[in-house]
Amino acid sequence: MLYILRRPWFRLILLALVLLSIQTTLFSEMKPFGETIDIMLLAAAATGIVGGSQVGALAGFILGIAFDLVLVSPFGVSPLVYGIVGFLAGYATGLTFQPTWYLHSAFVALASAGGVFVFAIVQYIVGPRAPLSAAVLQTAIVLGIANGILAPLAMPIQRWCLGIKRAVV
Amino acid sequence: MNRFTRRRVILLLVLTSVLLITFNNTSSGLVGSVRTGFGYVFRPFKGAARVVTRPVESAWRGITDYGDLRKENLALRDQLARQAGNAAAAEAFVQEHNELLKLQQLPVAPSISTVIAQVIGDTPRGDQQTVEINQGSRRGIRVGMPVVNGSGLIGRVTAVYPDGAVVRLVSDPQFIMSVRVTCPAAIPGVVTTTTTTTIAAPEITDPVITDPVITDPVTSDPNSITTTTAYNVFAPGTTVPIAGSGGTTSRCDRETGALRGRGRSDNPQIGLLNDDSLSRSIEVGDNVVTAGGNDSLAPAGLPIGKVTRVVLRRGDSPIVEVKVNADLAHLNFVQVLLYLPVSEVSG
Repeated sequence: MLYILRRPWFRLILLALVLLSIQTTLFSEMKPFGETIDIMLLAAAATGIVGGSQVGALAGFILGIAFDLVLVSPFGVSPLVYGIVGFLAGYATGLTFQPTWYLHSAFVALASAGGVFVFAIVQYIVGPRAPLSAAVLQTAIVLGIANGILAPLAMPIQRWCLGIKRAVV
Repeated sequence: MNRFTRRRVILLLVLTSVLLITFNNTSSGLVGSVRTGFGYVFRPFKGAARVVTRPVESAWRGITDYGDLRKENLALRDQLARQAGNAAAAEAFVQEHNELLKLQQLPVAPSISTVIAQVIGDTPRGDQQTVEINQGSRRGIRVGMPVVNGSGLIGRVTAVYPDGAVVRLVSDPQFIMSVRVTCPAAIPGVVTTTTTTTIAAPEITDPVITDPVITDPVTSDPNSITTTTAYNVFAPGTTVPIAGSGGTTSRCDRETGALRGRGRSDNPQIGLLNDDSLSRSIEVGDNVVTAGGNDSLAPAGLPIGKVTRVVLRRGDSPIVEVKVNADLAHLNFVQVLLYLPVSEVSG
């Protein structure tokens, strides 16, 4: 039993459930500037930062599947977008040499904001035809800043969850 | 895992996602079942999280909403006083309408039972416009039932659990409903239609719910009386009268189309309107109500909103933008109409 609990991917699934509970209760009500903060997207980006692009993409995929199970929008869009966000965050980190914590936060912010645009485009293609309006830009800015602020909190959690040791500088 | 290159893993994930999207579009039944199953598993987690996070949420609301709440409270007191008068007037109109129908030996508009529910959860992500309510299948709620509040239609039930349900709001991009554009109401908050009732109408024994038949006023029978019917679907009581049964409607009710949500920031639009040369022009301020029909999931005549913009297109039907009556961002108590489509009831 304890062995299973130590498995990183099992811990990620449990974490996904906890994050999903918080997302669908607390963060569905707390709306700075009228925008919903997406902590699942934050977790995907943070995993990419701490674990690299491949781990980020896989974690994003799992987090997206979990989120899509409680939404009523087309199934499969969230795993695709969160996977891309996790990959991009990890890829951006891989391009930098000894990135600092604030650079990590910036990457999470950028990846989250990018995720909003990817969402809008993917949903426009496959799902309901919501217009691509200026509101998407506002959502991207608010979500990017919020996730950037929360990133220093999310990264240690993701490190613990996936059993990743912090790189010694 | 190691034998996979990074590119292969990414490609595999993208392909799996695309496959899931395709699967969702072709076999929604299975996806729906999986979602429902997960919903049952997830509900205890969510319930626990709601209890734990409530103090944080309350603190947040206290910080951000205090000033607005004071102003809103005063405005609501004024509104309540006005609404009380309107509701009384509307109730009198409904009574008068039913008495007239009885006099003419026409079926009295049947009533729909409702379930009052409270909104307990907002949309979990910005791209989706839904709310969660605290009543479910145990109270007779089923997927597809219309949900209203004091201002009009707010959405439709899209997922049901024993003690809860998810309501897809009118503003959700996946929301679609057949609607009718009618003349502006004479009394604020009350839908008014001009009804022409033929005196020599045959007696109908069983109450039936029918769509209003459209007649041309030019050919109207001199043996007919014209009455103005006003009904407020949210009058006090636990039942909602179905508007428009019995009788015919004037040209004012000709324009029908499909209302589609366009997300939180954009007003819903009506497309596919009848491209009929006889139809009157749609004007800003016209009321939009549900069209009803045999297969419609909502009864005819539920108010939805008002026309705010009409975009005329050469060689094509116009696009009509609608401002929803209800404040979808601040929903609290709502009513689920336990309404089944006529085709389902008779079938």
